[in-house]
Amino acid sequence: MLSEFELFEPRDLQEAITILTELGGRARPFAGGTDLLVEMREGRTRPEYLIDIKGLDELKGMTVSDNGLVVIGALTTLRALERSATIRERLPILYDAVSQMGSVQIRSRATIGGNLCNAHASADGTAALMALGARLQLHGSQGRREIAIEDFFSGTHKTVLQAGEILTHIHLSAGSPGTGGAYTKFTVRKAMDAALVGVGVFLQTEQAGAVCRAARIALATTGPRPERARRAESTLSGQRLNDAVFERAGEAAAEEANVGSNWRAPEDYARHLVKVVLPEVARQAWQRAGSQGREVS
Amino acid sequence: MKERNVTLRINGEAHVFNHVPVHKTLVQLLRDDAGLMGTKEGCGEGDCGACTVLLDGEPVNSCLVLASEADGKEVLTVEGLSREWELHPLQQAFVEEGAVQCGYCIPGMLLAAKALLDANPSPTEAEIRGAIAGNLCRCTGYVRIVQAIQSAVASMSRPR
Repeated sequence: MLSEFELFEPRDLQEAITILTELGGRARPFAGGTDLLVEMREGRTRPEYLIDIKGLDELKGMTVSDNGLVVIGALTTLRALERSATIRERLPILYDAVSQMGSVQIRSRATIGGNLCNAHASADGTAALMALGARLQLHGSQGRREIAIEDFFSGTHKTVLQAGEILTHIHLSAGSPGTGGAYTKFTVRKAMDAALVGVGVFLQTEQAGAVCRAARIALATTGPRPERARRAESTLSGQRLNDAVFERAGEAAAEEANVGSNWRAPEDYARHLVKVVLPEVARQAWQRAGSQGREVS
Repeated sequence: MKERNVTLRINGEAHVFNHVPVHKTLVQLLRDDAGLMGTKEGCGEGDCGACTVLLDGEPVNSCLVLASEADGKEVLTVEGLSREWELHPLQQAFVEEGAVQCGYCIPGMLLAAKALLDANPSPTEAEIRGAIAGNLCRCTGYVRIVQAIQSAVASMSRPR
């Protein structure tokens, strides 16, 4: 049984911001509910007010502009992303992540914005978006601001959202020729499991895929929040790509990862997983970078 | 608001429920107010899938949906699968393949399978297993359940 609360159903963004600003910490925005209702049921949170924002149609769905800008509404469900041909074909790294989250039932309700705002260390969608270099659009009573996804988290389950501020859209670039990404979540079970580690790799290549121009690597679950592995990225930048280079990147990421022991994996095991999983993911990203290049040429 | 009226279609029939407390979940509304006991509440946290229903055709855990969120929507529960006394091909296949032991998971299992077959009439075994990954059975394991879904696929694709 859920404890009692009062429900608001704002019809537009401004109304939602006004209500959330007024009610402050006593209110929680309510999107898919697959995390929030579980937390409430377990008594971990007891909001006096739920603000059901699913009436905000402007926060739903995805558009791709001619210039390659992809805008994903925060209320887009994981299932909608999983089913999107655009995601599968142009952003397969995001498909890798969202198609492995929870069950079909969960993905039918859970939203990509909720995945970001709940700020779980193990958030697969968040790690994939981080490897993609996503930028987040926040709207509040003071207006609009855009921040890099890395700057969105202030700790486990904590974000920089101010009272009354709502994550509305996620901006990223559609895969262009010579780019490719992949995400792997390493789990004990084949489904319905949180990652022991999650690794996302996005490569920009040149010279027909032979050389890495730049790389973004994101890790999930290792630390208190999804994080970039910047030293590992720098071992790839400018390098002629091959297995040895990917293995060095895995070693660098394993070393720099902000790993703390948790019940899922002791520290040395988590580092070992990063070291061995990352090269596999990087190879897949590289293959995809190559295939996208070939399609265009 | 602390309560609201909820208008929805359940198994094709229009229903209006007045003064529904907003903290009431869809599974509670279905069982306590609509009197449809086929939908089971297991874990109440979206892990077991026993409460699976189709909401506008999508499988959802009805324990993680507020009744208010179903306003204006179409819900399909296990009671809506059969027509008169004729079982749905999935139900028939579950019976024939011995896929049911205690039965608690079966309403959710059937609806997860129906959602799969509605979108993909000829799924692979891996796709079937993926579609029911959110539905736990603690009796049989999943072999006969998967076989039953495969058998339903075969019977539904045969010309009648």
